[in-house]
Amino acid sequence: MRVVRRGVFETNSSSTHSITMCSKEDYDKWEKGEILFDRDEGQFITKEEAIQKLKNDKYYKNLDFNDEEDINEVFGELNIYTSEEYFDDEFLENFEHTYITKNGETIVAFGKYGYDG
Amino acid sequence: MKMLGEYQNGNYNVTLFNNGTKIRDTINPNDNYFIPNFPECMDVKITNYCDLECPYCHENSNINGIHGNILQARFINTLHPYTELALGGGNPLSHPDLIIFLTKLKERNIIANLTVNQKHFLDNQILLKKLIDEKLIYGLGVSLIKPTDELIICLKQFSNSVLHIINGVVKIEDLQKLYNQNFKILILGYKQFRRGIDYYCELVEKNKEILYNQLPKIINKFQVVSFDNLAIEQLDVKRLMSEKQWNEFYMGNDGQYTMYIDLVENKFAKCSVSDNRYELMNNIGQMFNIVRNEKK
Repeated sequence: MRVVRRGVFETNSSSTHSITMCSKEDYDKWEKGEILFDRDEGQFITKEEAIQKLKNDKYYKNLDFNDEEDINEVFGELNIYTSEEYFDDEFLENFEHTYITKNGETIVAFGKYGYDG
Repeated sequence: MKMLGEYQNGNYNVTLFNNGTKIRDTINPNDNYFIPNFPECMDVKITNYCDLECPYCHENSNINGIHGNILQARFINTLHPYTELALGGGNPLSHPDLIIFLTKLKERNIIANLTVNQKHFLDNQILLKKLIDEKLIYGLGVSLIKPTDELIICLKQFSNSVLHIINGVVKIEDLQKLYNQNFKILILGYKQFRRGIDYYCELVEKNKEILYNQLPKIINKFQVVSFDNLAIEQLDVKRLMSEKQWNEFYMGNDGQYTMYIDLVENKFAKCSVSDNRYELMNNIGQMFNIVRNEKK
């Protein structure tokens, strides 16, 4: 069994619970390969932003930023995924839950569950 | 994201990362429950002194409030490494022993987080930066008064900051000023307790209703949206997700993994608004057993 609190420290008297959801628009862009999902940060980013992230990390200072294959490998190490890569998991089940707000905006909650140990 | 630490607590492991992400995994993957031996997080009130006297403050903090004797609290020596402490007040920055106390916590690998009011945040940025750089604190809670340009600029300098907003107090137009700027927010439930009783009025209910209706939209506008248990109840957060997502998101009831310690009154309780308060003990395990076995 796994429970996750994403991206926030406990600064309050009661348990803190954090949620990550996205708009249908972002989700569709991700499915079309136009943006990537940074799983650790729980947010979508463009490929340019992801590359900038690598450039800011001294650990990757020798990486050849013109080599697509190398970059994709590092994205994998950093849990930055295309939707195809994210959902390609032989051990975990995928879920996608769509919610329509009162204002008519469609929101998608997605993720994986199961045990990866 | 880098790992800060990992520990075993009862039948599960906890991994804590430098952006605040926390993962609980049962040791036996087939277990569908967590049984902790000690609290993962504790809210610790270190002072009741505050010069702001916010009308909705449920702590009743004011300029006559006294500081807790934080250096004499013996239970600190029984805390497990990587326990998170949410330090607050009153204004915790007003406590004369704060830095010595934080140093003691750091030596024990305790993860200290601090919550201050927006005004105190803006007035003490250099000190707060220093505390973060020295790893004396990790998370920084900032209680929102008004989303001014100054606040927005300054807050961006603190990556582990989280804006505290109160359901019923925050106005939607104030929240909108913070949209799409990669901020983290923590939505707290409205507490009808102490000064929160006097502040309660029709406008509070109106603000709560607007937030309830706008919530699904708001979630997309921030890097992280988090809630305390009271806000989850008041805003019916469960309606926004599937059962599976809820099970992964929900970190537990008050007193299940968390507890409250008031070092001003030398008392402990399940949470800060609990009526059942007990005399402080020297051992964290003993105190935790009392709150988690408390009848609901």
